[in-house]
Amino acid sequence: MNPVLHRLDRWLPRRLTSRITLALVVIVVLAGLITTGAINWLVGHNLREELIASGEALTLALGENLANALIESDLATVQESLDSVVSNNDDVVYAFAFGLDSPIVHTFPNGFPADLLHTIPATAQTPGEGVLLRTEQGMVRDFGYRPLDGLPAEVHLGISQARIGRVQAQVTSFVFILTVAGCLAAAVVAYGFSRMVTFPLVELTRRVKRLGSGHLDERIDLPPGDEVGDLAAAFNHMAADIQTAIHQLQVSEAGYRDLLTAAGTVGEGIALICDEGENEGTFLFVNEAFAHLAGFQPADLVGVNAASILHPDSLAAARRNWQAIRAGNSRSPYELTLIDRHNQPHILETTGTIIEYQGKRALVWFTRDISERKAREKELRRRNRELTALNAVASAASEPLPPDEILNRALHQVLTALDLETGWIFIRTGDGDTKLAASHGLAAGGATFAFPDCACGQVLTEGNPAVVTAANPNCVVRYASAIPPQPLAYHATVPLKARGQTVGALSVAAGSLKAFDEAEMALLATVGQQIGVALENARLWEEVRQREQVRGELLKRIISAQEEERRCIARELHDGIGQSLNALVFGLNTVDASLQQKSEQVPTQIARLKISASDTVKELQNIIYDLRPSLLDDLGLVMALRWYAQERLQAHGVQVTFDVPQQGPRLPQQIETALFRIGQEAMTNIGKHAQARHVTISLQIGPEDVRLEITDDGVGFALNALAGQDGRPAWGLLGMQERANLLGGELAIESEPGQGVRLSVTLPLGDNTG
Amino acid sequence: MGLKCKLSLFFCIVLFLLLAACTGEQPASVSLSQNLLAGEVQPPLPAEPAAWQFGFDRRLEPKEDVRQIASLANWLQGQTGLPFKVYYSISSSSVVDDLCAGRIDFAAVGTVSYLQAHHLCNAHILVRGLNAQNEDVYRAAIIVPANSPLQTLTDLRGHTFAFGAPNSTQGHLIPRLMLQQAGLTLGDLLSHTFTNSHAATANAVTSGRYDAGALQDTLAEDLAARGLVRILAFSNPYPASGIVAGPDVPSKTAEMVQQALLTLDPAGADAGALYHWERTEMPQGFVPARDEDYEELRRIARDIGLLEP
Repeated sequence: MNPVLHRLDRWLPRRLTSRITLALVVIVVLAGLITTGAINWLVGHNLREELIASGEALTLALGENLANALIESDLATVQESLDSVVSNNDDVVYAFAFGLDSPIVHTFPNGFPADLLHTIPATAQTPGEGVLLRTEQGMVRDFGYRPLDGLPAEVHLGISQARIGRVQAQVTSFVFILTVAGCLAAAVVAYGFSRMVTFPLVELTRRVKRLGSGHLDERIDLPPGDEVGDLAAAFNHMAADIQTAIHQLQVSEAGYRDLLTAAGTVGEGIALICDEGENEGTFLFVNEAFAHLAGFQPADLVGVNAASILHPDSLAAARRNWQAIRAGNSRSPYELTLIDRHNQPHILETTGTIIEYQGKRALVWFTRDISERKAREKELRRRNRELTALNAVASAASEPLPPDEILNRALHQVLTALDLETGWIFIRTGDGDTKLAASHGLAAGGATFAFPDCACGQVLTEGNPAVVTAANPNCVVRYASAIPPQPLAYHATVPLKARGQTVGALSVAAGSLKAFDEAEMALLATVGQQIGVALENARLWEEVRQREQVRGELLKRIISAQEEERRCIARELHDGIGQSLNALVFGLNTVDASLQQKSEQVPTQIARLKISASDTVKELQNIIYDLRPSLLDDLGLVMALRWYAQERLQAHGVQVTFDVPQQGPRLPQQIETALFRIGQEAMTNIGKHAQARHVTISLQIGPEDVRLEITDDGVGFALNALAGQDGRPAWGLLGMQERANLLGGELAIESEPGQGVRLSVTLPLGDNTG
Repeated sequence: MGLKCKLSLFFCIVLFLLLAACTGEQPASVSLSQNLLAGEVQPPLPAEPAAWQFGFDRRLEPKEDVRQIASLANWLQGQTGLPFKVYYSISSSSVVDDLCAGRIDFAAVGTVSYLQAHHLCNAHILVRGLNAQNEDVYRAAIIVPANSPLQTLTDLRGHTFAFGAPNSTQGHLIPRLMLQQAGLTLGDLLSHTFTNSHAATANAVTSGRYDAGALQDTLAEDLAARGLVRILAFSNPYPASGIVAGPDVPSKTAEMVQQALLTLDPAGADAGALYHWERTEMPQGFVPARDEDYEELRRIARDIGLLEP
């Protein structure tokens, strides 16, 4: 309230009726004062103007009338006119005039007042407003007029202003009486009016009090159309609005309580932070969920600065986002890190809005602890990275690539997965040494560094992962090309294992030890195992490939040999048995002819035919023996070997010594067949190439396996020399090898040029012994 | 506007209205009942400075004549830088006497007065006036009542006749010449009288107190136009009234005044400075005048005894 009104209000009566009455009385009094002043001024002004106008006119008229008399010095006429004017005008107090060289003619019976000589000569040619004189008869206005321009003649009239004062006094008295009467009337009217006006207001006040005390259904029934009726209607409207608003507020509060309860139930933390004044930044309120999250009770956090429980790295983001919320530009959640009472960080997903709370602007801070979700996401990312790396390694390993290429690709995938630049892989060689199989990020010439000298070399011996610093002067990373700006101070090495054996080591280098936390090391170890398996698989794949290649060649040889064998049989049947049978058929025809013509030749012819038939049968038996000796089926492996040695070696002068069991059990047919065919091939080779004089054939039958060994004292050969043009061994030896492998056995050949040959084959018996 | 301002403005208005009842005019204290002066009291007028006195022949009411001559005197003072003051010749004296006695230095006079002053003290005429028709002459007219049976001047024989002032040129001198030219003398008239002005002559005729009268032509035409009189005859034109200088006025001063008067433009630029100049006999200003122009009138004046001795 305005201070002037406030002070005025203190001095005014409290009742509205009294105030209205007082106001009307004051208004009437002021109106009376103003009216009195105004009327006085108007009357006085107008009467004065009228007096001046009439005085001027009367003086002018008198001057005009007396002008000629004054010129002619007709003093009697002048005196008569002056007396007539004074007698006929009540307001004219005196009159006097003088003409050319004449005395003053006046209306004063007792002599001319010497004071009036001061009014001569007149101040102007015309009367104008005259000169105001204060006389014992009151205020008198002297009007002087010189009717003859250029001649000293004047006429003066003195007109009293007493009439003005009398009229003003009458007006003042009249207005005063009116004012008093007006005050009385105003007081009566104001009292009645105020009672009439305040009655509905009193009623309205009573209803408002009832409304304020909670009677929201309170309404006022007053006819509309006037201000109070409109006020009552406005009250009813307001009451209805308040009732509706309170209902909505109750509903809203209930919903808000439910919301807070629900938020607290699901762990939604809510805090109110003061956003203005000296307490800006401090908690005004926190719910249970928020306090529990921070490790406090709600009351402990009220008054605490919110920045004190935020991670220092989150302060700038918090200020930035809260500023955006104040500006109304932020609606999306943002993440902050809270440090609880036990210095444990909690990642919060937060959002906020600005409200009025306890008369202050406050930031409502909604928080949700997403630490576990973030950890799961981190773990998931790690697993994804691991799976990606493993998948990449597996993908590289699944391709039919050489081991070095597989290692290069695997190393590249590992570095990509770990976001590193430098790494290398050592593998063991067949002679027990190590070699650098793949590398990335190593300086030129890095391949020559001495791996075992580094501390990571123990990985090959112990088979456990290790993290090595660059403090060791022999550390591998000294050969690595560091990626600026962080030097490679650490490298981690994990073993590459296959079938339980360490076949190599995978190393990656980094500038920080953080790169080799537990998860990364686990990933490296897993990748190492994967690479070891990939290496083994590559090796096996290579063996399979080579074996398949050999088998393919053997199959072709078998088919070729089969065709050759068929051609040979066909040729032998055609050239031998066929011819013999043709000759036999021809002889029979001859016998038949002889029976009809020369019967005496028949016995001779039949005898030749018998011999021819016997030779044919013998040839047929030889062919059958070549195909599969019946001795093997009938008498067993030892007899078959003996027969074949007899046929192929001893028949050609080679001395054969048998070291075989005399009474051994029969071996499974496929083992006997395999050992016979291997022995057959060996003896064929000896007969063809060895130039041996003595051959020893040894057969040892054990409980688990059977071993056949054939040794000659021939010219021998270098094993490398047995390889064909494509590097593969001779097909005969390959056939022997293949037969042994098919039965799970092993075949070994030892030979040196001039040292003869020792061939041994060992086949497992399994449950097949007879 | 703030509440304080509103309240202040309200009280200022009230105070202004209350105070406005007083005019603020400071009255002078005068006692009307004390210090009374018995007997004749002369007005305490300041001494008049020396000035060229300007007289005039009375034509209309004294106050009107004074005002017209006073306005001309003021105009001359402005034009020449010389001080002028109007001089009223009392009835016991005459303008001619005042001129010749040196009480008047300049005067606006009719032809008779000029002829007398020239005759008595050699006053000389400076300029003569232009009438409403811008002519430097004027005429006299002899009027009869509108219903008079008289038709010619000779019909006046045996009838009463009213002249103007004896010294009036149009009211007496020229009409005497007209009667003489018609063969009539004062003895041929039944009776005659001299009024003090042309207005009195007109009243005498229109009222029927006299059968005929003589007055200035312009007034006669005005009365005839209104049907009050009938003009029996007009005179020949004669030199009009003029401004004369007394015998003691230095020639340079007279010449300065003459030159100034010749520039007077009563109907134009100088109309505001003059008081009803259109009512004078010289409403259009002045032209130079010579004494020779008045010879015929001087003869008749001498004949009828106006220049005696």
